[in-house]
Amino acid sequence: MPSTDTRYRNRIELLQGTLDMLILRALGEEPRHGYGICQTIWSGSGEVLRVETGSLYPALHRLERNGWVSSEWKLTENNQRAKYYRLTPAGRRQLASERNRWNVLSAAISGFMSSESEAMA
Amino acid sequence: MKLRGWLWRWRRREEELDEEIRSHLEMAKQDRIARGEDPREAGYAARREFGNVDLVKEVTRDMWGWGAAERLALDVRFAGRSLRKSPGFTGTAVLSLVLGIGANTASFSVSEALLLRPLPIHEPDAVAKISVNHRRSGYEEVSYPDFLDLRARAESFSSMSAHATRRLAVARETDAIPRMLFCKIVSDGFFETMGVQPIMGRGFSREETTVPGREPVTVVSHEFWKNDLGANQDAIGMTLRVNGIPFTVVGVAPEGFTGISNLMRYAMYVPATMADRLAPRRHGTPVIQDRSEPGFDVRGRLKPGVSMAEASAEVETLGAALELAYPETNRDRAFIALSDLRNRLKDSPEVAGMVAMLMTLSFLVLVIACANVASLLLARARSRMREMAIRSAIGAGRGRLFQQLLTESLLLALCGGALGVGLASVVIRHLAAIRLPTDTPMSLATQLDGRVLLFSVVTSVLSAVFFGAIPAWKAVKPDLTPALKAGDMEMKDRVRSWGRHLLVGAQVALCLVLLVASAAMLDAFRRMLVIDPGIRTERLMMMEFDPTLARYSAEQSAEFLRQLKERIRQLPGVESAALSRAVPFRPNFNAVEVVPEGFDFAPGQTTVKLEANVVDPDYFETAGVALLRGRAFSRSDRGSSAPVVIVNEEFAKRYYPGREALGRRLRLGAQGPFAEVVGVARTGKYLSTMELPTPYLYLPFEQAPQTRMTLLVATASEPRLIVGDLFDSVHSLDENMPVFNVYDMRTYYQQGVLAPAMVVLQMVGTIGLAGLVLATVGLYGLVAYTVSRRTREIGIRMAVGAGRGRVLRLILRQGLILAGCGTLTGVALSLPVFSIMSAAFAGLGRLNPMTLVVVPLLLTGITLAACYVPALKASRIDPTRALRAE
Repeated sequence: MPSTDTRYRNRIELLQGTLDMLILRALGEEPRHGYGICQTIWSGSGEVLRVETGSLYPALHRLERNGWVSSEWKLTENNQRAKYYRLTPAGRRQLASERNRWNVLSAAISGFMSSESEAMA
Repeated sequence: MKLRGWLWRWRRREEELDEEIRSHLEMAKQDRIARGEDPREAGYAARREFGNVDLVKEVTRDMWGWGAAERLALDVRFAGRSLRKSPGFTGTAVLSLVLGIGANTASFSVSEALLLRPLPIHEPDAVAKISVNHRRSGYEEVSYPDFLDLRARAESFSSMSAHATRRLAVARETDAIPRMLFCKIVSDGFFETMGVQPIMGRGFSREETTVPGREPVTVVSHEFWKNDLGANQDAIGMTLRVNGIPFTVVGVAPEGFTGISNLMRYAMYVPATMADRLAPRRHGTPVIQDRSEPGFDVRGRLKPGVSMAEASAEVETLGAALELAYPETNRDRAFIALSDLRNRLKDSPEVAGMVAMLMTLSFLVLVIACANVASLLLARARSRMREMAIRSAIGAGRGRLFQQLLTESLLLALCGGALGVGLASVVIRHLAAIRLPTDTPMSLATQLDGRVLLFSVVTSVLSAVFFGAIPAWKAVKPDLTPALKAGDMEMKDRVRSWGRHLLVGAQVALCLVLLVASAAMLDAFRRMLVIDPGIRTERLMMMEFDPTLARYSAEQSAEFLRQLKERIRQLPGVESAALSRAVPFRPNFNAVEVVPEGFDFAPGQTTVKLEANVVDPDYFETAGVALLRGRAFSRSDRGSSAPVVIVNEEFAKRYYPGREALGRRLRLGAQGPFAEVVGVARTGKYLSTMELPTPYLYLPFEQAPQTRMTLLVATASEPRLIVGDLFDSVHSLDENMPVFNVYDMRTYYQQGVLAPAMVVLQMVGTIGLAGLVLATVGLYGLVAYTVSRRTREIGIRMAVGAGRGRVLRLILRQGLILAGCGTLTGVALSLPVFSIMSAAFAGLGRLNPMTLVVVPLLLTGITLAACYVPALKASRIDPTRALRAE
């Protein structure tokens, strides 16, 4: 178990909109429960992105209110009741547009960052 | 239904959230176990990783997009939970507020009953009372011709009417013994002006109220209709005998309309034109044509958009015109229109004074209670600083936090308010149960009505804002970082403790003012209880007669009373008997105007108006009124002999200063005959035991005969034993003679005079005690808290070698300084407060210097005691532990 310090040092602060996008992306393949979303993002990001529960649940409930995800109670493979979230068609469209926006943004940022390093060199 | 559905959805949502989080934790734990962790450790670790469950729930809930109402419900729930978590704090705060709000609710209810409750009429605010402000003799009512002239010319009013009170003898059948009832003689337009509609029949028409003596019609009160006419649906057209004259019932007034008074309940209304047939006047002019007789209460309903000031200005102008047109009767009569409340304040300044006093005292209690709660909240805010910091770190806005804390205060105040109203309702019921010993249907109608409840709710909410706002603001304001880092902010502590010291000082000062005021009131009422009323109160029976009710003429009445008295004197067990017009402590409306010979009047004044009694020769002996000089009236003071009067000592002192009053003369009436002063009686109490010495006159019954008289009977033993004999004597003379107000003097005095004083005494005493308890609790809490804040400092002091005694002295000295400053401020404040009080309340007398010694000593003692316990605790601190504590 990492000490509090390293945990905080390794944490990457997520922009508010980015968290929504990550959640939508995590739900892209199949419906998941909250814990599953955490795990998916954690493992899918090469164990870099840890979503705090204090941010995850408010975000999930907000997305549900916006109509991008819907929820239902189901049993897990371990026979435990859990609330599963799934993407709605509106959520899929939202994911697509977020992905586009992210692609443009990240290309712009990385382009800018690399040009700066060249200039420096 | 809608609310229940909403509650159900809310419940389900909460449960789902709970389960969602539980399942998250369970899955995290299972994962850890699967990775080989110890099951128990895994549970803890999952929980640790998850973070603060309550907080996560709360921020998630915020996403549900609640409306304002839901957010409020959440806040209330949250507040309720957090108050339940600290029962000590909640209990102390609520108890303080119960006392504060309870005292105010009870006092307000009394004030309502005595003074403030609006008249039971339609839109009472729009009704003006028109009266005469006589430039020399003060306020008086309006004469009927003046009223008619005003009404004909005034344009500010949509309707105007006059009415006057009469005691009338009412019977259903010719042979029945009539009952004496309070009734109103009214002009036309009376019901229109009051804005009430008879529930059956009609009001009076113009024709019925213009020609004198023609129309014997009456509108009866709802109460009379229910109790005396058996709620008969065919009541209209029934005949009632009023002073022997058959009257036809033409209408029934609505329930709750008690006729322009909150205290009295009038039985029926008859046209003012009937006044002279009901009671013929000696000098012939009918009362409704007599401009010199200002006997009518005139009210006008303002036209929409007309202000009271405009109406008053118009009435004043019209009055000036009347003064020019009728100089003989209207000289110095200025007219004025007042709101009903202003009119009441003017009519009974001593009641207004008492009301102001009660309200001020209870307000002080409330302020002390609020100060208590505020200081508790401040202390609590400190210990919750970290909680606030976390909540705001995860994104709760300052506004939200402030809202939540204020909701908490509001919840406290409403709890306190609800219980306070409960407390007050006990007091109110107790007060309403007091019955004054008189046949007049009146009582202190305290009740817990809508206005009183509204007052308590408003008081609660305002106190919540008052005690809650600053602590809440302070709680959400601090910078987050140092608070999260834990530990005290030594720098700010100095500033903070200043605030606390100020609070302690202010509380001592306020409490001192409250106690001085209560002590002065208590002293005044105590004096009132032991005061000598100047009349015999033991073994004295009284019963009242008015033979004209049995259709006796004035001469027959006097003869009947004389015979009755002789007969009763012969009864065994009777020591003496006497006739008296007035009964002490009851207004007898027997004002006379006199001109004491040789008295230098102030410019413009020519007569003295004062209360007089009409008594027979045995009065002074029977009633135990001491004659200081001269003689009582005698059998030789007859109608045909020279007029004589007896004055009281105050009269002698005031109008014959420096000279012997005996043998001097005074004129009865401005131009009346001279009467010689034959005796000087001791000054007693006439209307209230609180009154200042008042000049008073006695006239002999034979020279100023009256038909309504009270027979006083002094007995050798328990007076109630002879009541049966008294009634036998009355009925042996006339079987149908009505008798009323039969009381023994001791009961009358205790219930009618002392009991109301005792009520006020108890209320003031209780309020003072409540204030003292509150201030003590508050002081103790504050001082104890201040000391606990200094634990660290004390630890250091002791670590560097300060002995226990020194620490004790240090803290006690601080307490003493605070108490001293507070006491001095309090004394400085209570002097002006007292002078305001004694201006409002004549019976208060002078401030007892002992009060100013005892009360400050008491308070200082309490403050020191409040310091001592925490100081003792502090001096036992183990230095090492104290230093580690924070």
